[in-house]
Amino acid sequence: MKRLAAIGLTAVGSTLALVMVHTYSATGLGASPMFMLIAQHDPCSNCHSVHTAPGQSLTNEVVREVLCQTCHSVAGGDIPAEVHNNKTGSSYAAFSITCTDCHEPHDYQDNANSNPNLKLVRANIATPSSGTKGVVFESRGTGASEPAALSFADGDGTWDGVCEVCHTQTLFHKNDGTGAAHNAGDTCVDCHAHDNYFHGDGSCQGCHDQTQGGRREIVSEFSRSSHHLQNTLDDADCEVCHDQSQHQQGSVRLKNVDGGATVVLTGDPNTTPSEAAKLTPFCLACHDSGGTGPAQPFTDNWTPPTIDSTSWDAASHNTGSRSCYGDGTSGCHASGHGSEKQKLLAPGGVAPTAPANAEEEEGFCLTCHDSDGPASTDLSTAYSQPINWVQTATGLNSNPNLNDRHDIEYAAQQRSGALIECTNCHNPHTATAAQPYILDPDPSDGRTPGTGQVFAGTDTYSEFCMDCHDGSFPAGVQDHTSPQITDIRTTWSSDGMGARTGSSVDLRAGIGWAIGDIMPCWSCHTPHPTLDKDIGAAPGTPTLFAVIDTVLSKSGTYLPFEKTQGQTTTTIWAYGITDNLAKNDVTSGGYWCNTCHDRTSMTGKENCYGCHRHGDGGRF
Amino acid sequence: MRRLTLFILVAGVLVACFDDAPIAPPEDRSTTEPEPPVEPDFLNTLNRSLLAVKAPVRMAPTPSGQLLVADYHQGAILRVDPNTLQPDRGFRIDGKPSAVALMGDRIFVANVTSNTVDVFGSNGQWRYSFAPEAVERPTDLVVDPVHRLVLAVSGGTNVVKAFDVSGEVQFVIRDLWKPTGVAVDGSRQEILVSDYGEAAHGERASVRIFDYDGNPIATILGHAGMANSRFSRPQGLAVDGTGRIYLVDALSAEVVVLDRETGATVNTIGIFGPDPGQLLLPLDIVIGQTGDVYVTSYKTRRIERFIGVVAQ
Repeated sequence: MKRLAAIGLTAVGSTLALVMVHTYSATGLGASPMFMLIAQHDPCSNCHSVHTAPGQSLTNEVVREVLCQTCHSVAGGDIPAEVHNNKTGSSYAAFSITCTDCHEPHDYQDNANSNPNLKLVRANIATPSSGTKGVVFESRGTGASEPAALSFADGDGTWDGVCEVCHTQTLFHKNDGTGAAHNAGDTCVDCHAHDNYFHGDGSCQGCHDQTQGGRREIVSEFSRSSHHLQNTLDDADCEVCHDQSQHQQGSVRLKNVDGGATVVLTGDPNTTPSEAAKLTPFCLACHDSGGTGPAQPFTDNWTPPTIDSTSWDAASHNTGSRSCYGDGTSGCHASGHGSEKQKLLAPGGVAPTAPANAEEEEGFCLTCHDSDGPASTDLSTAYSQPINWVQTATGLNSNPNLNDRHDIEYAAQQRSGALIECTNCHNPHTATAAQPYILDPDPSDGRTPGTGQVFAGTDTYSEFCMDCHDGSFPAGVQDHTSPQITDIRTTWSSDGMGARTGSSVDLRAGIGWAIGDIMPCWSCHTPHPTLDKDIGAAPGTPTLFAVIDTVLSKSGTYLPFEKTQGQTTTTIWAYGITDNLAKNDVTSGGYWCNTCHDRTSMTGKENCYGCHRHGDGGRF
Repeated sequence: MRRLTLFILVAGVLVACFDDAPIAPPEDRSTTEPEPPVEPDFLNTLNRSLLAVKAPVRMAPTPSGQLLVADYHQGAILRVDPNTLQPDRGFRIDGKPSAVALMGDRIFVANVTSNTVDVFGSNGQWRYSFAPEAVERPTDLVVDPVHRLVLAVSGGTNVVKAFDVSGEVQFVIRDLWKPTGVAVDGSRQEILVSDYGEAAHGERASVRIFDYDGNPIATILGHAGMANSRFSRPQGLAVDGTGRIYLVDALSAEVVVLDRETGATVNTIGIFGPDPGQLLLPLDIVIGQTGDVYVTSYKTRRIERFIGVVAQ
């Protein structure tokens, strides 16, 4: 018995003990000059006082760990340390292991190898659930001067590391030897720092910057083109969404910030629609306009865009098992962490094809809105046709930036300089069959379009179109570079579409329209390309100016045009405008205009658009 | 026997430290016009709903009387309202901060993780850092705007380093055992360092006072334990205009007010306890513009305010 215990806990002996703890072993000190030096200096009073000590064991502090931390705090004189506890949201009941549970400040015990442990670690630790266990801790780990043997958790078949003697519920290094393969022989506190309560690496990122078992790597997803969180990722951000109460127990648990039920994913939502369906209430908890959750949930203090849950309930996109989350067809959004596409669109790991970026924006929408669905509206077929540009040198229509559609496609935008996307007119979260359009494309102009898709002489949608065709644009929409589009709104009421008066227009009977009527935009135009059905151009050629292939009557029905050839009158339905450069009845609008106008007034002027257009002083 | 050998080695090293020239002041360190103070106006980049004081270590006052607080576990600098004692904004640093100080439009932060001093603009944007390993386990940081010096306690090497604002070392104070806090008395042109001492060598805790050539001027000794109402775990310190030193003692959980001339304890502020108004592991002090004293209480995660305790 060469150590302090053999000396006996006399007053002098206990004084020695404290000093030895923090400097050196008592071995052989008894009669040395150093012994006398130590005893004379009374270092016991660092922690103890005989008469004034407020704490147990005559310690100078009521709270034992505070006594230790007066030296072992971040601002103290020695290595900083915190007690061992669990993180907020941990899967375990709250616990706190204080300093002396693992350390013996007087250091009078040898371990089972008859050697002292490092760092005053106890030779025997009273564990929470496994009785008292012997601890061997003579080296730190695998560093150059830190042999792995006899270290924290050396994987040598005896589970006597200072960490593993207690652990029974962790994934790794339990005191029954299971999970020992995790960084065996390394220094546990390199990742589970003592001054960070032994929490793993101090952050979620510390582990999830690489694959963890079956979990994919996460951290880099926050660096994709679009992502939640606009500033540096923080654990607090992770915990806004992730319930950690059962961390590492096989499921991803997501919080409902409005206090709703926790979403427990037991499968992959990318491949299992029923799993993806669980995510809609989770997403809407933040993306609603109210609720009890924080208005700015993340550390970036951004306010999430509002997606009204009532509107989403009725939205056309909310059908079947479709969720917010999915592969692009079962749901539109990829991982909530980040996507290489805009607006977290799926699939998140696939970058759009530069420079067209076609699978973003229209490309993404048209994936479903094509001939084989699942959307019932096929827009892909029309948009897949070559863009039909207005020809030059045609008088009043000599604007080479005009074509057959809104310029949502990259190729169109490159030529015209214009910028507009599907979502400038449609809100995928609220659109229904009855109301497929957003209510007010340009709220800044103070004018609110009417609601409801009614077409019976009531002008409900012209104001919608005029939100842009007044020459000023909402955010995200951009005019042609040069020449710019005409301000139709200013001239619309006088150019013939609105209450043009006069007697020379020679309107046919039976069309419903009369002199003095205001014609809505949609009596002649459609926002998407319209394919001329059969005559005058190659089949499938989109009609210029996005005019529909025959005019609507005032009651909203398609008007047939009666074409007389010789003695035979033929009723036809389709004469779109596919070539404004030509002068003939078929491709340049002659018949199309004469659906309503009596051709007798237009003799010799087959190309109506050579002279007439919007915004030209009422010449339309 | 192995430990005894280690002890002798340590003692030898310590003796060797004393044999060194304790201070190496620069040839020319004339005073300059101090930079006009700039009120920090950084945007909050922390989660507003979770904004709170969690691990307050050192503080620094702003020109308007706000408090900048180094919050260790949050890895952030918080701006704390001196009346509500709650943070209204904060910005994160890349690591864990132990101390913060202001000079002109710069915010200096002692970064324990990277063992250096990070420098931010008053807008909270990182500008530059001192050299890697400029300090080892920094425990405190203070600025002297007149001499344009940044003094940092290097706890791992038991020295106080004086840098210029760019991070160039100007001189080093080595005659210390375990320095923890540092302050500057501008009126007396003195540097004050709190020192835990070394119990194994019979070296008691103290406040060490140096001139600007780094020469020791005076030492105010504490006590090894709690007896005699002295200090034994001296932490952050401040001086008022009357020659009094306000020293935080982490163990007794109070502010010990010392007379600069006599070293006598003339007052104590605060009591131990976990409740509001009490201190549990206090670490730093700031004397406010109206004579109030602010103290970081690390274990209770609070800033405590003691109103009107400093004569104006």
